[in-house]
Amino acid sequence: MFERQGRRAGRGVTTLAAMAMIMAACGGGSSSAKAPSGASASGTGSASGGTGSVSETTVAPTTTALKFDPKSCPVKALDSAKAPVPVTFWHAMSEANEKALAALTDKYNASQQKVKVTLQYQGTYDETLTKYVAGVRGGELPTMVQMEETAMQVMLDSKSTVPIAACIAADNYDTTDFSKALFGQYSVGGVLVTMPFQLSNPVLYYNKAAFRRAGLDPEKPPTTLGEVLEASRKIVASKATPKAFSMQGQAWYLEQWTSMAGESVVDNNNGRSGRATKALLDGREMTDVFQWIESMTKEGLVKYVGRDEKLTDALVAVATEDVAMTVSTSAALGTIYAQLPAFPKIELGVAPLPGPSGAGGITVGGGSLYLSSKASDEQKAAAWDYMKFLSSVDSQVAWHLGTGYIPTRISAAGRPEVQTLWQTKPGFKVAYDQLNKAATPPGGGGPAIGDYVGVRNAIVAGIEAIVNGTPAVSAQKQVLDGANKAIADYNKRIGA
Amino acid sequence: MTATAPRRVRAHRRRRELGRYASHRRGRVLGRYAVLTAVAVVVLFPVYTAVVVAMQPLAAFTDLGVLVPRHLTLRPFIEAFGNGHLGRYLVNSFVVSTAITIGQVTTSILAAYAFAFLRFRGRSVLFVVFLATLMIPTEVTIVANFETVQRWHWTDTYAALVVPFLAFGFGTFLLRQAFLGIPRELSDAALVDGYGHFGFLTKVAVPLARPSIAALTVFSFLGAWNQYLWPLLVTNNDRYRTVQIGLKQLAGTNSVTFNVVMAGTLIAALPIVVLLVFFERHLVRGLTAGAVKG
Repeated sequence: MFERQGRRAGRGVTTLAAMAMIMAACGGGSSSAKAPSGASASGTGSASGGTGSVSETTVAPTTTALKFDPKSCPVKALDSAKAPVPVTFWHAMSEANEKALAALTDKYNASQQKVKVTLQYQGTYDETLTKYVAGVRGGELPTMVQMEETAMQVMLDSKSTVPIAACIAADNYDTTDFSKALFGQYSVGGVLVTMPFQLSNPVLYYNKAAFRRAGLDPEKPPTTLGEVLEASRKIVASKATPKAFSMQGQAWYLEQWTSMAGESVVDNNNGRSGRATKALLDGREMTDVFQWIESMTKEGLVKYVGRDEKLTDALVAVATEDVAMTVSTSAALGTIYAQLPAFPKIELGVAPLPGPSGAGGITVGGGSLYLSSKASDEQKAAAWDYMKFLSSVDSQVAWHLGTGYIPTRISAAGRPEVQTLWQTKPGFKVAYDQLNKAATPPGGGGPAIGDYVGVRNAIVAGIEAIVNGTPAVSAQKQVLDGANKAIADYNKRIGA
Repeated sequence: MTATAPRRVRAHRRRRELGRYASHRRGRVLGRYAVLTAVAVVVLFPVYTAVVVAMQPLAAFTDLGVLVPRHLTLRPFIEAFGNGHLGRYLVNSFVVSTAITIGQVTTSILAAYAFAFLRFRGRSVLFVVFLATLMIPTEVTIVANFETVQRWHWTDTYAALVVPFLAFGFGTFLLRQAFLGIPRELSDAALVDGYGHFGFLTKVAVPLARPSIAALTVFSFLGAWNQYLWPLLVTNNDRYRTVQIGLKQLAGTNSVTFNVVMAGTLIAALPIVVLLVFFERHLVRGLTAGAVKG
């Protein structure tokens, strides 16, 4: 029910097409790739000047700060608009998520006369990106577009968006109530690039009944990867479930563990103080993570479910008692709670993602909204107004209840309807707390990589190699080489 | 058997042998049917699964009991129709697929006729070029085509959905093979009877190549009907979107509404099934036509 397509590793032709177009658009120095209008002097100083919160969570040095001008987001243009301003919004939400988005949008359109937002579904995130990037080369672009978090660097390289920091500064918009982690995740060089919207993060799902059978304390789920290994051994030895842990061939978790270990996935502060030039997946903690995967598989504790692109197989393995735990996205919580009554033998436990010990924290998954720099002034102002509506506490509460995405607003947690939900379905609170209590990861957020898909494919190939018996050490080397090649190729193609 | 044996004995033996042969044959036929039945079960099982999954409420999806349904419902079909905007999308798919099919069959007939019956300079080179287009995957051209369509402001038009597909290398190839199977004498005879190229094409060549043309019709329609990425790219407005996009909207990641998704899939597949049943006889004959020269 809930989109978590960002976790897919093996991407098909659409991504390739998008990449190819980005290369062409950027490499050729084509005239369509212009910086946001009037991209003049003001750096991060003015970004934080407006709100005081933009640069708080970023540790990136400001030397390479993305330049932006509050004037590039003419928030007052709407005041003089006569007829309703049309805003087209390309999104990638299907099914229940689409319904929730449509309900919010209908409410917004009905609430005022100046703006009329039209939702346009554009397929998966990949397909949306393909179409958007093709549009950058002189075609049609929407006023605003929804992307997943991994698309940020590609969107920046398309040079077709207004940094949201400009709107925040121009509008004196108060961002103190937003989860701090968001500004780290979606800022480059201390400048907020895009408006956070649909948030998720990975959590541990486990079956308390199986834990009990294995003689484990069901109220004390493992908090580190070492504890996961210990618990897995007990579960398999006691035959509580045939295998202990269902593992997906997904890079997302490794990226999370890297951040939790306080290490970066790529250099230059995870690509946030400058363009990423090489992968850093060879830190000591990461070596431990690769060793952990090797131990888990070699000892027969893992049920490997492949890339699991729909993100269901790993969870189904828990439901059918093939395993006792797995890690997956919090965005699946809504679906899981809806299906739980059908599995009376499962006592679901949800806990923060176990990870390596370290000074870092979890990073934000999900996605965000980009404002097109090619839109008219009135449209930019209108889209910004709509983004503010979507980010209001009321909207975020409705969005949370309707989709299972974590609210962007801290104070959403105080709402009675949210409290009621969390009492009956505590997993949502786990995901919310995990996001808001997390220490700042290196660079402020997950990595910003142009060829994110290429790096992820390298990581997944490494996981698969370990599952197939390759020693962790050589698999890690393989991952590093593959990721470095993907990064170097991208940078070379766009001439960076 | 000797010539001296009495006639009655000979006849009896003969009957016995025939009987043995018949029972042997019956056994072979039975065996064959057993194998075919087993294969049919394997082939039809997914279809059966699709139908029973599409006709049950979500609560039934807890174990394999879902395959032996107790109460059937049509609600998923109604939901699929509403949620996936399938009504409008089906109409669009039908219009677009029909237009593409007519276009492809027409252009293929004309091009194939030229390659089969006309002699002109560079004919074989041109034909190789035609065949070469079959080797180019759609993914390679889709970006360029999309930019062209955008530049012409064809976004959200039927033209964008139809025009790029009006010519089809495979169709030309298929019909050329069929036309080559027509004996030279027939075209000579047609000439003698006073037919021009057009008369020969419509009165002789096309009727004789009917199986291949029927096969191409189904093939074109199927291809057009199943398009997803191109219609998604060139349309934004629900008024012009096609049924496969609607299907995608029904299915989310972590999706739980298996029944609605399956119902939508069945709705979308139905026109194709009808078409296949209608053309099935021609289809099998048509694809092998021209494979062996007879």
